[in-house]
Amino acid sequence: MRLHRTCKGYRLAQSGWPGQSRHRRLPGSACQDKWDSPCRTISHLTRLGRKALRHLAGLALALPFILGGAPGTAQAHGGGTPQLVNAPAGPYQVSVWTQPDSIRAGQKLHISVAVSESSNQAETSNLVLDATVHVQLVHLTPTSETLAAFATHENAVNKLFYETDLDVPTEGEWQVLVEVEGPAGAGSADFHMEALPSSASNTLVRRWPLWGGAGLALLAVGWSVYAFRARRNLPSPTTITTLHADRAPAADVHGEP
Amino acid sequence: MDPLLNALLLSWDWRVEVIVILLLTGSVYSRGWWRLRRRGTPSHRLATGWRLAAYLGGLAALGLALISPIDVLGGQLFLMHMIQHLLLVMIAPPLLLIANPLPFFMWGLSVRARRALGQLFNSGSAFRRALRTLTAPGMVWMLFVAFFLGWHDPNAYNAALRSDLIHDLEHVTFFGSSMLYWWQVTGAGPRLRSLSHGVRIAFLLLTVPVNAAAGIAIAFASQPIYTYYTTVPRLLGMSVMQDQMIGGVIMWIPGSMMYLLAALILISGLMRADDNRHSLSEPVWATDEGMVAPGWET
Repeated sequence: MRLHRTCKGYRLAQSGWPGQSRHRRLPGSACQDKWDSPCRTISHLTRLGRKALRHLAGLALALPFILGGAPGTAQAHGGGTPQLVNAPAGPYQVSVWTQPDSIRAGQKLHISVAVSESSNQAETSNLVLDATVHVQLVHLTPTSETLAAFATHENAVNKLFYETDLDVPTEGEWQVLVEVEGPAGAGSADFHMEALPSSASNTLVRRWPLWGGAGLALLAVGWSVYAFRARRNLPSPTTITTLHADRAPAADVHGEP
Repeated sequence: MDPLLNALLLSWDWRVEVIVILLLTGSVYSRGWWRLRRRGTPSHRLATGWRLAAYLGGLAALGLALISPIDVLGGQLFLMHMIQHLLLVMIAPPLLLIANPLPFFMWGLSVRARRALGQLFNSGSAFRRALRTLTAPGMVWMLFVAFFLGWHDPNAYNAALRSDLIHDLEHVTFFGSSMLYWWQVTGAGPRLRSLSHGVRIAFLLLTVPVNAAAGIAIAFASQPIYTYYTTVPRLLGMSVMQDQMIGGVIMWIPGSMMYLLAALILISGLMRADDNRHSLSEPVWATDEGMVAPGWET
């Protein structure tokens, strides 16, 4: 048994590595130190650290589910497929991108709009940041189903753009109309796009964080079962006499000093 | 403040998955560092302040690359995208690896997890053998160069700008291959093979021409290579060609400087080790045979 005298008169048997002390008080010993007693502070801090780690691991495991289940998370960078590039819209030029690349019925369409002052040279035209941008989707069928939303900086990650999300409910051809109103006046531009029929496999692919999360959770459960079994097969503490607590792991994990 | 500058500075992409990973790795490392620090010498020598600073600096560089306006503006300015790649490939990995993260991670974990992780790297383990085979220096160098050149192909690059998923894949492969690359150079744990200083220096110097050639080709191209940038509004009155030229120069000069700097640090370490070598005592070198033909003793 490896014995420590970490505090006066307190003999400790350590079965883990230091810092992870599983101190057991041996018969006939008593801890005389109080607050600064290593056994007390170490076990307290270790308990706190374990709790924090457990919470963080739980959060990491839950994260894919949260992301996968979150309805309508906006796409990020304002990128996507360019639909209009510097198209004239009254006194402005409008550029529009859509994501995903090809839209299916039932999917969310992310629309990013950039508005700049009309100029002969696109490279020298200034971006207009204080306009109101309205996006309309009109289904080109006799029913002319219409969806509309304001594209704003608040919805955008890139605050130079105006962005919005719209659910495309039906397959077929849609007209996308972008109306801009700003200090220099108002204007509009439009383009057409085709929504493909909905597909079950597409829905499965879109939910990849959910499946990934389920896979991770399964791994975690398997690991816990394995660890539990391994723990049951461990020798009793009295036989762990050859474990040198201070020993580093067998592999050279320290790298270069 | 200028509204454009204000909008640029507010363009942060608060990605939960990135923030959680950075916080998780940062807290496990710090916990392990603190535990080793408390143990006193000789572990005190391992848990130095500069190591903690380097690790946290590496995480900060990753955060800057992945969630700051640098990332968001990478879709509009090629030069910003090049700065982002510099952070992902040449700043964050060496900083994270000179902090020698594995022992600190092990000490930051629970006993059971630590033992399990230790077993993975035991000398007889299949994982260690597989890792050793897969991370042969030549293979790592080729993988690094292949990803570096492959993602700068116009089709791959444009696809990454159009799709967030491909963009993430680009960054994961860049960062992963760079971690493998700098792992060989820094000699951080686990040390599966011991590379001499000479091999490490060659490793670095062989990368310089590849990096410089790619940077020069981009900087001096006569037309836009990455056509996606012709479809986005320009910023700061900078044309697509000016942006492309500056991006190419960033890749060429500061990029190559990082490899040269690392090679110089290794060379100075080599020379210092040579200086510290004990000289032979006189009775050893001043033998009759040695004096007749110095250096020919057997």
